[in-house]
Amino acid sequence: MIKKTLHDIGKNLPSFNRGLGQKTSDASGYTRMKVSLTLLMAAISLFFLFIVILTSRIWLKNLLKEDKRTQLTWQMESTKFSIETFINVKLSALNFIANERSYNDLLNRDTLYECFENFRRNFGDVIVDLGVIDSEGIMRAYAGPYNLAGRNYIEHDWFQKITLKEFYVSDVFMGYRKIPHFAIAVKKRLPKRNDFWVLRATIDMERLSRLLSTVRLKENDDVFIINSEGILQTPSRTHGGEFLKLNMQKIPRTQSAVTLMEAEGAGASSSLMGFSSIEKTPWTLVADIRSKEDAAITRSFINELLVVFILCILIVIAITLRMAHVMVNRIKEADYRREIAFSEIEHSNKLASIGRLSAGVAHEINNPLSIINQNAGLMKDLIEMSLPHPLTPSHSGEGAGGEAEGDDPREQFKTLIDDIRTREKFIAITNGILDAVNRCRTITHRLLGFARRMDVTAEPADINDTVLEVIGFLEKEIIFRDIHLVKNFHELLPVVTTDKGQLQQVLLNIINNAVDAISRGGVIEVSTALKDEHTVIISVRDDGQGIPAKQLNHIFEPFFTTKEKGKGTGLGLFISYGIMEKLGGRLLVESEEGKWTLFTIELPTSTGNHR
Amino acid sequence: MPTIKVLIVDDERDFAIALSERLMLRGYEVSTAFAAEDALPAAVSARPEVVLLDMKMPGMDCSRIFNELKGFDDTMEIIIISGRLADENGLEDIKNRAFDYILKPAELAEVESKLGKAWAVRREKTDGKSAEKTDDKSRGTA
Repeated sequence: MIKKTLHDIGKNLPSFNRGLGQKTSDASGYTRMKVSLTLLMAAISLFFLFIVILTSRIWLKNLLKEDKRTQLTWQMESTKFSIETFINVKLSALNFIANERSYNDLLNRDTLYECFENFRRNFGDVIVDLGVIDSEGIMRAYAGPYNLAGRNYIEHDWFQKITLKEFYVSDVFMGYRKIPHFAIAVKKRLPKRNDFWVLRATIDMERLSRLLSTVRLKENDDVFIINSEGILQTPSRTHGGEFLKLNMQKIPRTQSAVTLMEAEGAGASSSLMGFSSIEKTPWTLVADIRSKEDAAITRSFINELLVVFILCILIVIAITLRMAHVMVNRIKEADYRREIAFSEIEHSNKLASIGRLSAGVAHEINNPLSIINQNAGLMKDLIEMSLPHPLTPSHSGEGAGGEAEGDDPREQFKTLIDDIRTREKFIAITNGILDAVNRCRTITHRLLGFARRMDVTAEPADINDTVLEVIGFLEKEIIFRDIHLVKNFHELLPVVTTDKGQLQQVLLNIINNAVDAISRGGVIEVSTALKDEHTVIISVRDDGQGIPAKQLNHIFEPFFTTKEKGKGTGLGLFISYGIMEKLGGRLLVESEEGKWTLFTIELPTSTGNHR
Repeated sequence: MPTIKVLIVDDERDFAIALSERLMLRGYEVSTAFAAEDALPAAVSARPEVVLLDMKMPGMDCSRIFNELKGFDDTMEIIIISGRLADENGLEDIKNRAFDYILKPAELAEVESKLGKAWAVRREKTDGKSAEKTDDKSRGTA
């Protein structure tokens, strides 16, 4: 389809190879040219514009994506830092207490409570309870709302763990009253006994959860904490409630830095996930960003681009229309001028033909005129010299002077005329005059016929007669040059509808060339034949000097001539070729240098739509 | 009035005959030839003093006839008559050697005038030649 469109546009573009006689004078042709040019140039410009816009959009998208990632990283780092600070502060406080008070002090319930109250005063309700646990895992002292004194934690996972470390942060668990808690603990050694004890505090998870929720979130985004097994420590909007295992293939092992990952989330959307492990805790901070890059920005960008795009389209179209208009007008003008030039060339060529004809005709008429002149003069001589007195030109009735002696000129003239020899002589002379006049008439009629046909268009013509007429024009020249003219006419040629005058112009040119090629002696053979039922052939063959092979390709070019300067315009064959094309036929040439030349005219029996 | 001997060479019979009759009425001695190949034989038999030669005759071109005639008798003055102008091919070489040029249709007065002048020029030339001969003769005897 693109190919076809391009082809159509190409057809309507200016063609730089138009031959003689092709007219592009209908206005619609130029309008089509203008439109095609405009469309083509607009399409090209818009195509590039489109590429630029596309590239910009992709670039913007990537930019926004990068931005999102950067934002997420910062936010996660910041959140992680907050959480770590939170934890660190609690741990430090616990450490402080454990360092300041001795194990035995804290076993005292009142002392423990005092510490607990201090703790709470500083940090608020976040601290849920405080307990002292010995190395057997037994809660020796407890301050808090629950009744945990004496409880044994030896089996508990966290106790196992803290025997190995100095401090511990637990996973979230459901405490009493079903509120999520987590515990922090510090271990202190009793060097004297080679023993240790643990100070443990329970922290309300809610504060941390609230911290997470302050992270700026869009509707589809989610921030939560998971433990090392992927179990949610805080509620997640998208991945299930607390304590559910995170439904994810791969949880990256992260250091403290933020790791970003594209993941196929639930549903069709892909999400950007961020992971960051939180120091000192078994936790990993997870962010699940589902919202797309700021669509609003993209949309407004695209909108602005569209506006610019449309503006550019309008400007481009306006400019190209103007340019096309100017260009096509120039082409129109050039075409017009060329047509004028060609018709001037044709015209001057016609004039040249007429000029040549006229010279020939003048000579032909001069001869009969001389005959008339001398014959009339002879008649005058005979009369004048036979009479004693000159005949005066006045009328006989007037009685011209000088006839006093009784010689009546009328009587003498009568005597003269009565002489039978005189009568015969005068009749012979007069006949000579009349014959000469007839000769002139033939010539002038022929000339008139030719002149009349200069303007006429198609009419039915007998080809043989047409050729004979042209030969008639050149007869004298041919005879003078001792050229033997052979006529080889096909008897049964169909009637051809064509422009007789122009055809004769072509024939005149070709036969003239043949005569010039021979110059003296030689044979010209003019034949007519039938190529097929729709084509008639007229051929002119001369055995003159021929045309060299490398000139054969050029003889139909304008201003190409082998005659010397001043002789011939070099346009005869060029125009003849053009005329034959106009008539829907062809003009062909073959030649052998030094031996012969053959011109062949092919003519369709009806000129038809070839104009 | 001396008789001028003229030869008319022209393929237009009617013209040549009419012109010759008119000239004869005026006292010229006129012979005619109606074909190129007859020009030389006519000149040989009539020994004209001036020749009126038509340029456009089929058969032989004008230059050749001219040269033949001049070759036969160089004292003959040749006047070219024609229906065309003189700037055709092949005429350059005889243009200078022809006495004059007459364009058809010719006025008789013009023809007579040119014939007269040609004859006079020829007379001068031939007189000059015979004067030389007489001188030689007179010098020869003694």
